[in-house]
Amino acid sequence: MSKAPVRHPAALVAPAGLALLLLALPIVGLLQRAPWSSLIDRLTDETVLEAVRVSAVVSSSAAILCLILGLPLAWLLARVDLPGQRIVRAVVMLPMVLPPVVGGTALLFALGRRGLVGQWLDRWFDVTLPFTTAGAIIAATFVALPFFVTTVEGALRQNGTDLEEAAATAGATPLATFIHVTVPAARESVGAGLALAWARALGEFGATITFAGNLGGRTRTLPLQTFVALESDPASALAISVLLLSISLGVLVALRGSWLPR
Amino acid sequence: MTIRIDGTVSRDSFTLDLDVDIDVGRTAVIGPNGAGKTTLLRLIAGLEALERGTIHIGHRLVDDAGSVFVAAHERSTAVVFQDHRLFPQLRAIDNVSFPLRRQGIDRATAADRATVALQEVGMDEFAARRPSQLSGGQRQRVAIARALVAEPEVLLLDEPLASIDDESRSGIRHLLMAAPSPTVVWVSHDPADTLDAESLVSFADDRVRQTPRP
Repeated sequence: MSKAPVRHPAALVAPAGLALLLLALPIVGLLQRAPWSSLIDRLTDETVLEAVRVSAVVSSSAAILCLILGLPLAWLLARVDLPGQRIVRAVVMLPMVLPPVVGGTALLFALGRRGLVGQWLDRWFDVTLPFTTAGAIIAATFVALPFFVTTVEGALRQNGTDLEEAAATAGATPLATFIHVTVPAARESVGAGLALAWARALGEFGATITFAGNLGGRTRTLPLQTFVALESDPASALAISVLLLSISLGVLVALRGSWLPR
Repeated sequence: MTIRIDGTVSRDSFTLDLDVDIDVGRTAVIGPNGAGKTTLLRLIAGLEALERGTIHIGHRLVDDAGSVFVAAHERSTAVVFQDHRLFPQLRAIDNVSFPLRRQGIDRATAADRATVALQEVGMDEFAARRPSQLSGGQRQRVAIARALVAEPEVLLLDEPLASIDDESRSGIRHLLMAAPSPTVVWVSHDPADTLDAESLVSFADDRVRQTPRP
């Protein structure tokens, strides 16, 4: 049996093609202008390497924080009847739609030296977050956390509670059930959520520059370095962009099947 | 160990009014689908709570629809579910070790006892396999070993043969009949499973009848 021939209406095909073009054209432009012959030299330049180091520390730390804080949050959303569940979920999702610069501003007023919580961090613990690597990590975690939480929460809902019930009747405490049954059963989605969160943290710009500033070796991540280089050394900006593009593509390929539709 | 349930719980479309005494020995719980047999089992196991009334397991009050609710993992009960519910990422032996490990028993001792439990259900050859590498009947045998390994006072069987093919059924039925737990509660819609049960709890017409066997 073969499919009946269908005439595809141009009224749909034409805008679909335009949409694809809009998405693909900038990538083509980037690759066409990239300084291929000097790519390695530009990426191993001292200031770029410094940004690579900052980015590696910030994005990996943010991913780890997402894991430590996000797994319990995903569990809470999937398994516990919370009062005001819809509001809680909206708060969790908010950084996905909030302009990152607004997120950074909000972080500044919450955790800055005169902020809601920041003033106490400063006074009691002598901890200052703005314009530090720790601040950049918090900004990255803020924007990345929803990607991790929503991915894992969906998996927990889909997996249901049958295995958790079996664990409870086999003598496992709720915490042991979470560690030995719930998380292993969702491990693929945990991995996918981690990759997404890490990629989002790696690309973070607006919240970072607002909250943590643009300090070489401390908060100047690869996206910030790209922005800085765009003025002074466009070829370097292009080289870094190619690097970030290939990492993003790598994450997409790694996620194929576990998160994206096959 | 005796079980006493006196209370109510609401189901989707009706309220289940329970007044049931389960004695030491084997009790069969029968009745049509949706009558509340599984609910009775889940109440005993601690997977659901009463809305009114009390549940005692032995002399211990485990649920009073208020301040007292002993969680499933703290009850001396074990369950064999209709759908094995083995942990997919664990080998058969680790599934069976699971209840022992949760009691704080060390890995080696737990593995030894799990091996014995797997022998008793004829599955020791398959100890290293994961559930996905086993047939339906084999999975249920492993699930039975997991339920029995910690020597529960009360063994709860929720339609344990319903998803098993005819070939494997009689072997598994024999295993369950020989289960060493002092109190066994066997929920089934198949009258064949209730043969030589010492007492019968039957659900019909939203009413629960209890008949001791002579």
